[in-house]
Amino acid sequence: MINIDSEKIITIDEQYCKGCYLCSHYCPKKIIKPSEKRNSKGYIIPYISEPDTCTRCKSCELICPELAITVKEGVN
Amino acid sequence: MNQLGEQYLRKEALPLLWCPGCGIGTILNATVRAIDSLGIRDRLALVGGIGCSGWLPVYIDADTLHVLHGRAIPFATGLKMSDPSRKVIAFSGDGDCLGIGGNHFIHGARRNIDITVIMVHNQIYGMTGGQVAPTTPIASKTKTSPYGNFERPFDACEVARASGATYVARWTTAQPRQISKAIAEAIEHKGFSFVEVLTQCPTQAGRVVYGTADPAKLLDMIKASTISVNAAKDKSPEELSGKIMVGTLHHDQQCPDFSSLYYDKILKAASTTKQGR
Repeated sequence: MINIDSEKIITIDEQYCKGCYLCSHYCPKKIIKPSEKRNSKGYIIPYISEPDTCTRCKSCELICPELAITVKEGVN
Repeated sequence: MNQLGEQYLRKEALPLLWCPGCGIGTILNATVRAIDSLGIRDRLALVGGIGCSGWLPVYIDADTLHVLHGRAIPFATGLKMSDPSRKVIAFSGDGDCLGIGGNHFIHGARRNIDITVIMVHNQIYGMTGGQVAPTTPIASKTKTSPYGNFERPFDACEVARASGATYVARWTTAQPRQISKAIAEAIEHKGFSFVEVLTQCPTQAGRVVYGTADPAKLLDMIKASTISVNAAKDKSPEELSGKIMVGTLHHDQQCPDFSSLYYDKILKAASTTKQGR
């Protein structure tokens, strides 16, 4: 099933991310990966590689020490 | 910043001061969720000790005290006694709670004062540069124990339970849902509630105790060293040796708390004595 709005299921606030990758480690689908981009503090920020596979388990949102991740409510 | 962060954190204090990958941020995340689920923001009073974990309440936009080293529990006790309608939460590190403030911790638990103590257990004095804490495991080579630590570590939950705490729980930062639930339960509980959270410290304890500075690896190692209370039920003592129990370790709902006893009995007695004179 293709979700039209899937790009925005997970939003990462680049300003506050410190690049610890706990979100990536605790993602059961392993879709959070390091990008090429750095934020203003110099940390390599993650991106969502396959947004369609996200199950909205919120593991990344709950583990994030900077409260920088938002997982949109709803069902896939 | 997610919606809860926008709602509950002090924007002017951001960004959070903790190192990348530090677990205290996860505890902040879980605490904010617990406060949000209970809807007690107006009645909240937070106290923080000294150390990395002492900064935790400073970021939450509520009435906050940032107090002397080890004295989070005495200040919380005073706060609770002056206004028993408040939900008082004290945040303390392992060195702050068990080392410098060890006596206050024991006596807070003994009185069964209705406060919630959240102890961030990172196994070291992190902010001051990695000295031996009362919870540092044996043989860890820290800055103040170059030949390995000889002192046996504390089991904070056992101390709390033996001293008379009526709610005792322990979780790791790898279980944020459970921490949030335990904090909510602890706040709701009438009496001394103690929640210990085992946390990764990639900068200090990670390097000297576990030998890695990778927060994800550290969390896996910490989680592997624990066993849940339910899983431990049918295990033999040999299998449990060296394992740290996680879960709700003690919950006594019968014991009356100090502030309600004080206001019910002592103040009533004092007022009748006055009239008698």
